[in-house]
Amino acid sequence: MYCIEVQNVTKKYGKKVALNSVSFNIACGERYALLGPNGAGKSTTLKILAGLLKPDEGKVSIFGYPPDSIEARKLMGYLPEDASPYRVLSVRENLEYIGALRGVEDLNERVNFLIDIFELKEFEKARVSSISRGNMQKLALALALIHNPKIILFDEPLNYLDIPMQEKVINILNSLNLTALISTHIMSVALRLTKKVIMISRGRILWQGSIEELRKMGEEHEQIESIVARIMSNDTKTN
Amino acid sequence: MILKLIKFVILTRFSKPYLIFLIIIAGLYIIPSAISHSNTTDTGFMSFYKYYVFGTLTFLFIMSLLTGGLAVTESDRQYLFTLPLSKKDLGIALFFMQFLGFGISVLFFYGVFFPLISIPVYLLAIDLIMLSLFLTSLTILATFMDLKNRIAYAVILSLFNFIGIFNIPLSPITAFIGTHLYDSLFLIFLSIALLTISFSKLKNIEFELTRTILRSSSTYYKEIRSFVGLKPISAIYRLHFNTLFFQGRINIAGASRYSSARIRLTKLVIFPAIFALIFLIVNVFLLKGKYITGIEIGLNIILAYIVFGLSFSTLSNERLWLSITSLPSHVYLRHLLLSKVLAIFVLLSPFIIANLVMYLLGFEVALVSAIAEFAIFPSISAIYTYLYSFATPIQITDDIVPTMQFNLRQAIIVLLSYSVIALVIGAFYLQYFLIASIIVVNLAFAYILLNKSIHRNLVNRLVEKNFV
Repeated sequence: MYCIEVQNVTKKYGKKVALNSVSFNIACGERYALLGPNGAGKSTTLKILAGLLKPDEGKVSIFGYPPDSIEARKLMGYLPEDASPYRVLSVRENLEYIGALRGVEDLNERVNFLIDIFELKEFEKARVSSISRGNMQKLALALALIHNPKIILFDEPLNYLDIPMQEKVINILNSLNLTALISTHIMSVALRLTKKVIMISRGRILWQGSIEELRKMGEEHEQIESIVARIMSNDTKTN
Repeated sequence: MILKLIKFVILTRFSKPYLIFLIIIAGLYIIPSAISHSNTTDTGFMSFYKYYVFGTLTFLFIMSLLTGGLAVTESDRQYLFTLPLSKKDLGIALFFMQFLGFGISVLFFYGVFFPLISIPVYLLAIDLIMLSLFLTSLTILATFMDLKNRIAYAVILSLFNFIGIFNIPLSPITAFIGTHLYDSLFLIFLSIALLTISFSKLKNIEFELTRTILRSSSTYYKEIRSFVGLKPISAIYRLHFNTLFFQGRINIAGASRYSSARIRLTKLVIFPAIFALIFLIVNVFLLKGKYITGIEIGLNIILAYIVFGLSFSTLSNERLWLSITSLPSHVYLRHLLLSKVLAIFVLLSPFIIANLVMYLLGFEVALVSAIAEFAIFPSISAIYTYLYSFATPIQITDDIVPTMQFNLRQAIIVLLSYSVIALVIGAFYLQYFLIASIIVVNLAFAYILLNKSIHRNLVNRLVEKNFV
């Protein structure tokens, strides 16, 4: 059973082709890293899967449902890059508001739990625009997880977090039985959070497979970053 | 070098098509006025125009004093200020850009009335340039004032404007409503004097803004809103009907930042209630209905501008990655728009009541005003929010002024607001026009509210512009 299905998806911004007939499937419970250079189409892929963007061509489904359906929304948790919560609300108000929009049961307990694990108690009543970028990222992660999603679509989830909090978030995400597609530039994040990789460049899937398979493509003792860089630069040269 | 710098700064704020469009619009205002030089002495129009100039000019003075400083964007901080350029040159370039910005605002407010005013067009053009210089200089000087002084100057300038209503010469507004050359000369004198002082202070102005100053401590809300136990739709209304969000550039210790604020509707409505009461007393007891049509038109044009401003805010503070991934776009946006329409209705209600009272006291024209405020303005705010999504809406995500370039599409959307002003003026003179306007505006509003694909496309359009 696939939790995420992407079939021949094409997306253009004006004349610029962001995604060109992209196809991939992610089985339930699998965790994929979405790797690619800047402007490869990673964020566009996540926005389409989150139901925020309409593809020009192709089909996308989340657990068999269209991404903008109520069923898919209940299953998905989306975090964009540089996520900005509601700035004129406090940390708690953000969590309660989005929890109420999502119809989360036992909202008070859920909000308290997330505030606790993301160490936001001190800033509970703080106006979001006045807290640090790191705390804002912690709040954004809590907001993406408020409804206990089964599928997460995260874009650079560890940005702005200090090392202890990065470790904590990695442990939290790994402890949850989630299907995940995590876009990142940092290979170490991909290695810690996922087992498989989708490599994308200039709107096309370049390579897809497990991290072990990726390692085998390199020479002995070759760093995995170097293997990824080589695959990406080969693509640039061939085109 | 300085010319290159000015050109660079201007082009980072305004696209070339936008500037060309602006020149064409300015030409369209000036050329007909120059050809058919009006000798309008129509007391109805001039009485409306007098109050309109007073209201808008007072608004511009207050805004200049309160916002203060030069508009420094994120890209200025990260790129322009790192270049080996003298502070004076940077100051002049930013000053010139701000002058252009004020010039555009002033043209927007007054240009459309050029053909109807009896003042020679060359003199009007000089007046408007001088006014833009005056406003720009005022923003520079405001940087060196504390809040008390700013408020004091705002009051003095408002009173200075107010005396012009009684045709007392040498008020800033008399240059725009009178026919005396010395009024324009006085404005030139004021602007040059202020310009000289502000230029002498320009080298001392602080451009830099460090995030650490702004984020040295967290701001805590005393009153926290709870959404626990609410259904999704009720949560939308609790947030968006009960609370209004404002954003704008403010100045702290010489540096500018973008700030958002929230105010409860129940508190905010006190302000229109006070103004509506004053409006009622002035018209009924002081003016006794004199120039009532002109005053009502002026009031409604100013209310239209306020409604436009509030319509922009509806989207600026929105977070689609949170709201649209929680609820279907048509459900969320429908109730978001409706909650704002209802909030605007509540804000306008003191004026609706004041006008109904005036109608009952025998001022017939006040009924037109009450009907327009009841049946047109709230609905038009939703239409305007929708249209705004076609321009490049600004999403407030940081404290510093976002790096943005005004483009042609935005200019056209802003100019569409003239259609509302034309509609307001038309409604006061033609009954059928009022009825037709109510029907058209509310049909369009209902269509926007009920059509699912409109909301889906709106989200897609915004997300494509990185409005997430």
